[in-house]
Amino acid sequence: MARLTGRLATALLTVVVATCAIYTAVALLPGDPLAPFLRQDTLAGLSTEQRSALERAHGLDRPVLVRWVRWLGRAVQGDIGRSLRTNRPVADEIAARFGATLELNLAATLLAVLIGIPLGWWSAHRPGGLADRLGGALTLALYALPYFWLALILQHLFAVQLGWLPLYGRTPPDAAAGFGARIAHLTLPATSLALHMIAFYARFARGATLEGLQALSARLARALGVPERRILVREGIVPSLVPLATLFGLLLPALASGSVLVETIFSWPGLGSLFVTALLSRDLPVVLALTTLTVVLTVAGSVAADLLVTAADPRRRVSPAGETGP
Amino acid sequence: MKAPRARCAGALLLLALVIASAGAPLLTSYDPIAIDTARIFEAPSLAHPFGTDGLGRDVLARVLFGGRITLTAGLLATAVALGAGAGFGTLAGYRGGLFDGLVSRVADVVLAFPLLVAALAVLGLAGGSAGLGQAVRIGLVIGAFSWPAIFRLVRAEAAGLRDEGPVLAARAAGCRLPRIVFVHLLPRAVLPALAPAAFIASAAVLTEAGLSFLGLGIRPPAASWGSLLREAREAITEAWWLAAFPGLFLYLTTVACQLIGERARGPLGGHRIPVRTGR
Repeated sequence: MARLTGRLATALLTVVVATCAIYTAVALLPGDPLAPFLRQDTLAGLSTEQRSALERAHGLDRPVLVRWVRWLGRAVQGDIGRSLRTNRPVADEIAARFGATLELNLAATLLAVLIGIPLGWWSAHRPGGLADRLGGALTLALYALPYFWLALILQHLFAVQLGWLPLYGRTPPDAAAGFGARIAHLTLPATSLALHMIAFYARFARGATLEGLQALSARLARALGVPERRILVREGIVPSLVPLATLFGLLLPALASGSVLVETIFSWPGLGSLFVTALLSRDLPVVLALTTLTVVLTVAGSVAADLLVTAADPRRRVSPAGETGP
Repeated sequence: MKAPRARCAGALLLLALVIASAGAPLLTSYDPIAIDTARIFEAPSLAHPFGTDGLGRDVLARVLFGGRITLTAGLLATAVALGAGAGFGTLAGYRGGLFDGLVSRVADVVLAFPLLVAALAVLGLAGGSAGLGQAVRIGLVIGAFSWPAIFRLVRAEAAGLRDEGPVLAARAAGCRLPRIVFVHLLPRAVLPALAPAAFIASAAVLTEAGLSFLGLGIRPPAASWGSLLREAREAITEAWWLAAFPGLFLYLTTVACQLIGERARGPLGGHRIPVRTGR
């Protein structure tokens, strides 16, 4: 319990310090201090009196730290400002695009889990064997793959050359086009995103399974003549499920901006493409909000993974852990 | 493939790519930014082995010169991450106490930023310049967000080694702190971080390419492999070679890095002898 409180306190501190760093960095950027509040064309036409009035109104005459505390206070209450590009509340912008990113990342994770984890188990059943070497070469090839390059190639091959799948975009969930069209739009972006994850999951599953298979209990079982297949399942695969479950902690940060490049290539209307649009148009409130959201989700993911391991493994509740999380 | 052989192959491949980029003017007589409107979108031929782009520029020359940007950014980022991670890690592991706590918290905060997001935000908002100066900036930013992984590995190893033979002997012999830490402890504590550093190089190269692909990294007329892919995207139906070759070079680089780092998952599948972290 004390450990849980400590972990949460550290996580909270990390988030608060990180928002301070983000806010200060954005505030200290070269450029007009009013830029986060007004559009470029409006800014240019301001008189000196208007300018100083606006600066006072936005509290810009105060030190950065004071402004950050105010921003944090409003953010905690759910007010994170308005987008300069669309003049809509940033929270609405994020809410409107969250579903698309969630859909894409869930689909990619599902593919990665279904292919990557069994591949890792298969590689682990005989380390150094043919399956392991093939699996190792495959994961290396996939892991190194620049996935936005792959996305370009897939797009060219399946959408342009063969015309089997749509070039870009997403079918909204409420559209009349139906389930088939949604899957068709989802296939290429999800595959591009998944291939990298497959390699990661396979490597992780292999490592976690081998750890169990080399433990004393597995060696004892082998000495007692327990069938190899049963040892693999009981000593390798089942214990590997706990560390594997922690990998879902990685899904959380991905939900904020893990698919920036793939979303941009396939014009997927999610948070990743929103981030790039906001950066290119210097829409600072949106950049600030999305960066903060990413940090919060990253920290939340690692805390969740940590709690999960603690819940699954009683030993971790009593002895202080070393490094945790992936 | 056995780990040492794989690492050797990876190192040779990476070296070949670095030499090809550094010696670009010796390998091609074309200027990477010379426009030739008579030769737009020419498919690969003997005169232009990688073809030409929409402005008639030679793609081989652009890829070779582009490697200078991408590899400079990637290798510089790795050097920064390794230097800062090993320096802080050794000191934190050896000293412990307040310094350790402080740097560890900073590392936690930096780790909370996903690399691409952090680099995008910093470089996207700060604007940029063209050429090698921008490559150096990109490398520094990526390195500044990559060091905590190295830091954690080195810190754990240094904490385990602080009371072991050579370090203990140095202390007993009356060496001063900097000498103990940087001469006796650091070279030993950094060992487990060397193979993972190759993965950092791989991620750094991909991040630079991703940044430039989004138009937030290197500025034209200079080109990196990422910005070449960005140009290729607009013309992919007419000229496949524009996307194929920069991507292939990028892929070769990351494969080389993965091969070098192969030992990290080594023959025992990522098994490491547990290091003593308690004090």
